[in-house]
Amino acid sequence: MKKATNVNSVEFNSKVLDAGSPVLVDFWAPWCGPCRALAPILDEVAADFDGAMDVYKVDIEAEPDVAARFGVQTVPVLILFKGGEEIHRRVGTLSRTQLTAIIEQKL
Amino acid sequence: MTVSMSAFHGRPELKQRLLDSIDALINQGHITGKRNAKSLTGLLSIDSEEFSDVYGLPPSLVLLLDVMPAYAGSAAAIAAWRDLVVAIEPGADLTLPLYGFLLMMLVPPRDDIDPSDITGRLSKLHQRLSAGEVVARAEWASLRNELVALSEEKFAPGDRRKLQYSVWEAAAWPLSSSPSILVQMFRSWGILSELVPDPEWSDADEARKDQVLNEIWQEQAPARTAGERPNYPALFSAREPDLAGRFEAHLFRANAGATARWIEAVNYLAMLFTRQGVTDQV
Repeated sequence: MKKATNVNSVEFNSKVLDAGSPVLVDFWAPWCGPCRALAPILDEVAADFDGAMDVYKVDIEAEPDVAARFGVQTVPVLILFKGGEEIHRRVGTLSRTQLTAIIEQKL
Repeated sequence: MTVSMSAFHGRPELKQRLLDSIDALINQGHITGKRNAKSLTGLLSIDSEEFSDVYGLPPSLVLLLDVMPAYAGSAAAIAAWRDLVVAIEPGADLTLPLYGFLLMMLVPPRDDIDPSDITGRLSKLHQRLSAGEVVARAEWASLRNELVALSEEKFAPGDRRKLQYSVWEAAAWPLSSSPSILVQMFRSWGILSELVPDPEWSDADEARKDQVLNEIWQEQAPARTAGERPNYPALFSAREPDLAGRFEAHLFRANAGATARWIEAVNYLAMLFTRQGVTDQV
């Protein structure tokens, strides 16, 4: 089953901005409780949308440059990219139902 | 697909190993009942899938055990969390207790919030699944769409009753393929104490509080623009001392209620585990 996978600053352009399909990126931190609660939802969403959208995670402590580049100052933050452009941003947690509704609306 | 496995692979020594690890973390001060503690898997340097495989525990339970310390909020809650592990009988099939826990968390803390019988309809879908019946994807999707629409239509942004809808939205997926359900519901379970009717804080009080705080927020716009940080609680107290005092007392009761609900839920799941362990032995 496909899952959300980590992406680092070196891979970010090729895997996210230059990707042929939409990409959902989760900016998270290891100390963030809500981020941990959101993680299994992202795995489930990655499996649900396998083939239509990729899901990546950015640890803002390990990759501060990527976080700064996208103005991420709090976590969790979810950003949906399409054609290299940010088309939606959500700060904070949400249910799988809400996240699925947003993705289906935006894709 | 139904995920069922034998708890701790039927090996008591695995359960003891986990309890020893938990006790060591508690004794070393890593898990204290203070909010924002690290997760269990983080502290044990193991990912949740591996944890599930090693200990023979369903992924949905592993996710629950993992984040519970971060939301525990008291030493008593941590003790309840440890007792939950104690209640798991090696070899038990935990599938039905976890469904039972889900059904318990579906029920809202007040009656006037569920005119469309979401609780009953969601319960039926999960009960059919737990009985081995196939529930079509469209049935889940239909209920999810209804939930999102109801939540948006019925309540203004910021209305705390939306919290209950977030619990139902989390629950509107099949548990067997969506291990995140229980942990999502559980996170909101304690907070829902805010919806438990408080005889000393009416809906009219809540509406008046929102109105006054909104007025203060708007009045302070120039101060914020000038870079000041207004003390909103003090401003609230100065304008409406009686309301502000009663609001503070209401918040205190709600917070105490959150911890009590947290422990109540963990104890309920432990009871279901114990009962399943006895049933499996008969």
